[in-house]
Amino acid sequence: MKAFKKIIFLLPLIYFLTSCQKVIEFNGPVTDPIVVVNSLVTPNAVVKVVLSKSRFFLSNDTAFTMIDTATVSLYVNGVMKETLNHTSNGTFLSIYKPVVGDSIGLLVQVPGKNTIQCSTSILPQVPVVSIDTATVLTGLNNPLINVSVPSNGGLPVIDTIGTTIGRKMKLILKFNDDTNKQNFYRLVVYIKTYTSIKVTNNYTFSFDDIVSGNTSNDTIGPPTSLASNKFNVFNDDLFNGKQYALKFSVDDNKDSYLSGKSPLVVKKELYIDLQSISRNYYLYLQTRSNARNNSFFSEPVQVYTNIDGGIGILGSYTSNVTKIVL
Amino acid sequence: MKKNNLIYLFLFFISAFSYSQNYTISGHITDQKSGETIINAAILEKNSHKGCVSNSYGFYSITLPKSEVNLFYSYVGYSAQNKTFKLKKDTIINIQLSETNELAGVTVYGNRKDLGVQGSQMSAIDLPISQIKSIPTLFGETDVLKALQLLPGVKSGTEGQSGFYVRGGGPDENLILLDDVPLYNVNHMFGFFSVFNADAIKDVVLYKGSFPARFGGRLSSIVDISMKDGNNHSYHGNVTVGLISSKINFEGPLFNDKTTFNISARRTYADLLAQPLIQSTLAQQPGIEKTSAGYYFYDLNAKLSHKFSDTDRLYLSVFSGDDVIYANIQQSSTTSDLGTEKTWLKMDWNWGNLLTALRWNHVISNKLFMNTTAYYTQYNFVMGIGLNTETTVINPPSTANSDIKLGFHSGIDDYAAKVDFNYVPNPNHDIRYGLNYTYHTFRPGVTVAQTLTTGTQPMDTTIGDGNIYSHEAVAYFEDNVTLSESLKANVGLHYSTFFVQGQFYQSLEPRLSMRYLINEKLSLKAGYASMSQYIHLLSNSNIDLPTDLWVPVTKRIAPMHSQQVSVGVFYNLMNMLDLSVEAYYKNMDNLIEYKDGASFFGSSTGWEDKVNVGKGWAYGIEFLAQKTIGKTTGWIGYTWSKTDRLFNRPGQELNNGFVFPAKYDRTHDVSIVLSHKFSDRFDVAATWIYSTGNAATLAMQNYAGATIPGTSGSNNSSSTASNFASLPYISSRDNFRYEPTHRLDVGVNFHKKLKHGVRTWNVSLYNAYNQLNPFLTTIKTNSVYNSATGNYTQQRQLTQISLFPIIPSVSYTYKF
Repeated sequence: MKAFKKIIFLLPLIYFLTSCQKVIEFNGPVTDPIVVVNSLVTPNAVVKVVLSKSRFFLSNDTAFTMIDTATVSLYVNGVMKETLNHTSNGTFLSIYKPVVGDSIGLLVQVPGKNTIQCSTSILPQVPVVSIDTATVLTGLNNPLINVSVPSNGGLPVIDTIGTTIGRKMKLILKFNDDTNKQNFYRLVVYIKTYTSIKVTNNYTFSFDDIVSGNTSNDTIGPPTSLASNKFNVFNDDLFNGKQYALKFSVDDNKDSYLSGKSPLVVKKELYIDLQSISRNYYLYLQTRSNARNNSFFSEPVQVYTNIDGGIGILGSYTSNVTKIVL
Repeated sequence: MKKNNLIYLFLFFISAFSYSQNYTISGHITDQKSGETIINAAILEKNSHKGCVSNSYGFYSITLPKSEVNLFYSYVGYSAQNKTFKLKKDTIINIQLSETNELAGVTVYGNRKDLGVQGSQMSAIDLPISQIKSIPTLFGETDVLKALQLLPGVKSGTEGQSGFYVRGGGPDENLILLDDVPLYNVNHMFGFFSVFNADAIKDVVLYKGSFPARFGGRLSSIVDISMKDGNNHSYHGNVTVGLISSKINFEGPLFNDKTTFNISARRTYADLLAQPLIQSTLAQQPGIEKTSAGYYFYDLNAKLSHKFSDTDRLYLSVFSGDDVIYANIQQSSTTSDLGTEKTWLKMDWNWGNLLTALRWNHVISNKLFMNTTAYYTQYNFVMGIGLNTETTVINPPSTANSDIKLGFHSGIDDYAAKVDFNYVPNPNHDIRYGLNYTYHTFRPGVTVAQTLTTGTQPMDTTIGDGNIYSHEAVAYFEDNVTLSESLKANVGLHYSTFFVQGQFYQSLEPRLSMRYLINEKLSLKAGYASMSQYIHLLSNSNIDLPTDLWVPVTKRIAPMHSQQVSVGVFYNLMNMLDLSVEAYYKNMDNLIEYKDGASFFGSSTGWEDKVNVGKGWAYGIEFLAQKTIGKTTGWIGYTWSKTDRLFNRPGQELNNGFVFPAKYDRTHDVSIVLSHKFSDRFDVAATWIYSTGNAATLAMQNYAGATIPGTSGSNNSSSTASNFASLPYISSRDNFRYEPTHRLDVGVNFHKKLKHGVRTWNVSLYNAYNQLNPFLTTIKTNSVYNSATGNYTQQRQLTQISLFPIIPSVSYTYKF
């Protein structure tokens, strides 16, 4: 009888505790897939357009459907230049290579869908004045170890071949900002490492600069969910028309090898690419970065799009690359 | 046109002051049984049909010509009194009204004369505390703010939360006054309970529009809450033991009938009850030696009043309420060959209000009443975490200590003084004017970190913004003027200034509320109010957190402004049922909304960069049928409304610069509140609400993101359909509607008269038919095994999370 009473009491309790979550039918409008146009154009390179379809958020598909049947027309300065060639996997390529000053337009026709239009402009290079570097040692000083597995399948051989020293390269990049218009920038910094078997790019670096969106002051208080500036974009709001010195740093290791030992790394190059980017590309990168960092406590993010009749991005960037051999 | 205005103004003042051979009758109106002052009791001189009402301190003044007068004092639910005499000099008459016996066995809720058919005020609702107490609530906790959510024009936010949204405004646009003093944090337990203990409260009035000029500082509503003074005849009180809290109220005379006190206290005890469970659970963890952890809230209301004479009274009001989260854990670990390590973790979170107000009522003359108030109000959030570790090593013998402390502190302090005058030159004018000065100190948040570790350099760091100081000054003038038997108006001007960080803002706000009486039972009303607001609450989207911060306007973020017009029809049916229909239109400027992706979590640093500035508007129609007398009382309210936002200023765009619905825009809201008194021993109450589902932002499509050059993986030229970044596509803000919300709450009261008082058992059911109303939706992904292919496939489902299923509660009250 006592057990029965317990069950009588526990059953409703379990029901209440588990009844607060339930699967529901979606009662909003179920929209058709939207055509997605993605294209980032840059001077002296062919225009590459990737077409795909969006998928309903409750769809069980894991991959996106690429659009291979479409007509993509390229307009340069308002004049139709060519129809892009379909290669594969939703990709369409031009023959024409845009130049600085071009106004690029796309007209996309997908069977069964409305005509899609979008446009952007090719911007001039950022006038970089100088790049100053200073290197400080971080104190890291470790033996450099090579682990090799004998071809006969024996135990791995551990061999000390030298030492690796940690260093931080502090860089100041000075450039002139155009007074007459609002400018948008993106900094891409990477180390290209050549080994005997492959080439890898390492994009890790850190800003030490307010314009870059580094908001270290936000570390006060309880933990924040501030979206990070993942794509390193910034604008000239704080230095319009002036020369600006952008500060950033790169962490790296300098290897030295014992005599007779084969170096693991053949060559290292530091690439500093200050891009002049179109406003629409800037907004796309900024909102896309914020969307990826969205949390329960923050407002949902609408990723910017400039595709009229579809979604995605047609943006442009013009690189100014400086190479430093490390 | 200007000349005509001047002539009108001249005539206006002539009419105001041209009475000759007049004498003034004045005094206070109180409840005979308790001595509590009665607000808005009606005083009518039957021969001349002139009248007035008592003010919020029970004071009245009526000036009449030298003649035979027949004064009729009345208040709903009380026996009226007549005074007939020959008026030949200024006279003081204090009246004590007693509750009527004619209506024994039925419920009578006061209905203020200034807010009903006859009064000039519109868009205001009086909720007597006795009616609020009868409303069944979550966990049986009587809640003033949740009762307000049941009124037309007022919307609740998230289910179960005390926050409310009035006529399209935000939750920080409500000025909540406790005995004339603003209270900043009005919630306990992350917003699920309000801080107001109903036992300490006498009356609650909500103004939604047509604000009298004496109020200002917020755009959308004023909630004017009066605390009980205390009984000056005998000692009374009550004790309530509920499901999550207990409370006590005690009132009576102190030394003599000139001094009274009223004190109420409440505390939750879930932490005390759960302590053995917490300790036994944690005790099973290895090394735990001592534990205590929990959460509770308490509040304390106290009021002391002293009557020096018929012309001077002093009131001291105190409110203190805190929420506390605490944990104290002591753990040790022993390794036989190495030694021992002892760890103490101590955590204390504490947030709440402290309010102190000293008020002096002085009757300067029988026509002029003055109230002077000095007050201090504070909201404070303090967080402290400490970790102490003591390590003893056996071989070689050594001892090391590590002490880490982290603290966070934020809040707001106000020191203020104000003086209000009430001048009644003749029965046609009831003039109020006054001045108010507030010195605000905003404490945006400071983190203190201290470490003291054996063998290392001690660290003591303080990070955060400095305090922000501001000065707010207000002057107002209003006149409740009777222009003719049919036409009455409350006209006024409210002038406010705000000085912060070298920036000076000012605002002149005209106010008007007019009533045209078609007959004694039917009137038309219209109103206009301009409002300004100089402070913002930085808060997260979904629930109230102690880290929410009040911040002042800045050079970049200008004050918010609103203008509201409203019209309405008011009808009284058989002195039992008040019916009203009101329509309103409100526009709001300089509103702030958080940028996409922005959130606040206790730091105001750079908050201006996280918000955009725009405008909004709201319009709607509200119906209310309220029955205040009889065995069955309550109301039926319905609101049809629309609230939009537009953020399209350059650089401040939200939703791509297009209009979007405000967060709690809901087209339909219905509330039915009924209570029925079967006998003195048994009564029942029920509320039912229905509302359109809340708006939410939902990404209804996902799409492939562009491959960004200069990022890891961008050199991979073989992009396939499955390796693109998946981005959410949100067509617009608040593009999705949850299912409509509806819920029935019921409660029954069993009363029994005991030797020294009355005991009441209250049994209530929150969400009686267990409707699972949406709190939020998530997308759940399940892996489903396909036996045909032998593979797992992903299945996405929309999942709704609800907060409150059916919740029964019971409480016991003993009233003496």
